[in-house]
Amino acid sequence: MNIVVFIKQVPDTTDIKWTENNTIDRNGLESILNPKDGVALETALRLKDRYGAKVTAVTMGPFQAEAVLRLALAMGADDAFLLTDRKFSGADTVATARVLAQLIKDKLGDTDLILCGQVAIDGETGQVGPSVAAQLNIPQLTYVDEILMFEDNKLTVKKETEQYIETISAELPVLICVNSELEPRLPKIDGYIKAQQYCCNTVNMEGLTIEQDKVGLKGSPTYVSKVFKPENKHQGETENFSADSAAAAWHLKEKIIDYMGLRK
Amino acid sequence: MSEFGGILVYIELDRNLNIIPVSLELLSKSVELAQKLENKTVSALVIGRCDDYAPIIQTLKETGASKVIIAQDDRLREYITQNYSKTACRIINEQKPEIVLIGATCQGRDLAPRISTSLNTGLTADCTGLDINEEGKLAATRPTFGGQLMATILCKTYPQMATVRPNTFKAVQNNNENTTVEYIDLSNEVFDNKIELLNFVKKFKSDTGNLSDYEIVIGCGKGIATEKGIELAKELAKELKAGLGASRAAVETGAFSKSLQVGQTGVTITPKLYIACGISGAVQHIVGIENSEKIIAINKDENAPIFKSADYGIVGDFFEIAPHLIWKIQELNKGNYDA
Repeated sequence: MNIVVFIKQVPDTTDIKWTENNTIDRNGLESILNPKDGVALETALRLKDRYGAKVTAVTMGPFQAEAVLRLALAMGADDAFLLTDRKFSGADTVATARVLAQLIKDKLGDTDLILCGQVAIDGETGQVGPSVAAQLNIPQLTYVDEILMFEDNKLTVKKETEQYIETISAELPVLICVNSELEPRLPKIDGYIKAQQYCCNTVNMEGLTIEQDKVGLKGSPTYVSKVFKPENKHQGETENFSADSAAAAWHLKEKIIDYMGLRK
Repeated sequence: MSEFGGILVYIELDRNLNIIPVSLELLSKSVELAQKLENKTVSALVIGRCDDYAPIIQTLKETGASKVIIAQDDRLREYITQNYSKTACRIINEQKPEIVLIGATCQGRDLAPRISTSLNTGLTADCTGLDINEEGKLAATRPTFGGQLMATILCKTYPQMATVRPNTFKAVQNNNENTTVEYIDLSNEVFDNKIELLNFVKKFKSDTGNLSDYEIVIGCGKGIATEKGIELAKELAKELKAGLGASRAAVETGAFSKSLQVGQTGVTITPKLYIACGISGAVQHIVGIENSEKIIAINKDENAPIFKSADYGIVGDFFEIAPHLIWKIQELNKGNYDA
């Protein structure tokens, strides 16, 4: 079985600082493996442990993004591909998915299962996975909580939506976006050594049979016209009543009457 | 002039064949947006299989749809991504709307990128603002970087597509007297069967029900996620006829179910009044509450970021304030405004 896991290096969005010009200060912003992609990797590695499989980690990004591939290798992935080219940069979700899908077609061949994290913490679109599945014309399952069974040509998953928990079977090949809270394994020493010695495959524009106007900023149907800090619609007064709880309650009651229009 | 015109809204049905709220919210918003477009057609696309479409059509008419398109087939009884996507693409190719809007639900987020990729067009995810700009294009605004940055996205191709967060817009009655209904015959369509739904179970409804049903929501933070704190919050909620939500940190203590989580990774709420109790106010939480009409915050820590996003803030101990407040609200409910 061949499993491909798409992973992404993201800035740690829990710790964002702003420049004076209202842009994100990228200095000192730590890069991490997108958390749900860690879950996707762990899911793949558990399938490998249980059923035996070759796990290939793939990322697209600048050279530094190789770090997440090394992490994947250290955790137990068997192979790694870095898609890197300045022509790929500025891509929206469709243009990103075109490159990922083309790598599968051109370099990876028969793939039984593609795993992705449900969403990345920077862009938060959740669109790249389904878009890759659409380009490869294979089925997709999103919001997957668990892969229950993985056989020759079929798998069964548990999927969780707003109101239901569903059990679904799919014919392979299939693309799955995982949304569980699995804790990714920590690499062991020999994993680190293997990852250090491993030569990741690097693929650029020339390595893919894809036209330039289909990738990067140029190939993206959407573009950002404006970015801004969210406006704060709720800037009111704060009063300190730590010494007088009854007074605090009285003021709260008055505000509730006021805000809810309860005044007689 | 472009061959594309009008807005198409994907109408999602739940398993009881009721229209889910976000679909009507988008239909209402589309009627408003269409005023700024040359072609003011707002189509509502229903995919599935019902025995009686009359109540669905009636609701869509009352929400202002100028056209209802019904694509029905026995094979579409259950939602299967590829089959729904294929059906939607066929209809979009025939109708050629300039804008396609889909609710950002589990189904919508699954379906929309499949459609947009197949149509070779752009899609903006999880929007919290929609407008038509001076050039008549859809300007879709969405939070990114955990809600710390807003981005307005435009699309170079047609149709311009967006998914929109539930509870972003209000569904309003706006009866259309001239709604037309079109049934699409799918009997010649070939669907594949690579995906099979084996079974489904309904999740337990949270003990408070759906948070969007309440005019007041009380948000519980980690600071009050103890037995006593929750008891007080519940009693206060009872007196205020409020729903009970929780921050991510509070959910992680195990005291609240995940379905009550409010914020970026939980639900977005838009009550008339949100009362944040013992919530520090991480941006990820603020994103989920900022469209509340008013926000009150109670926190012991005067430096808690929540105070920067509150219309009124009280620095104080919830455990001590709550009993007084509960009594005062009980009196208020009896008609005593001066307790």
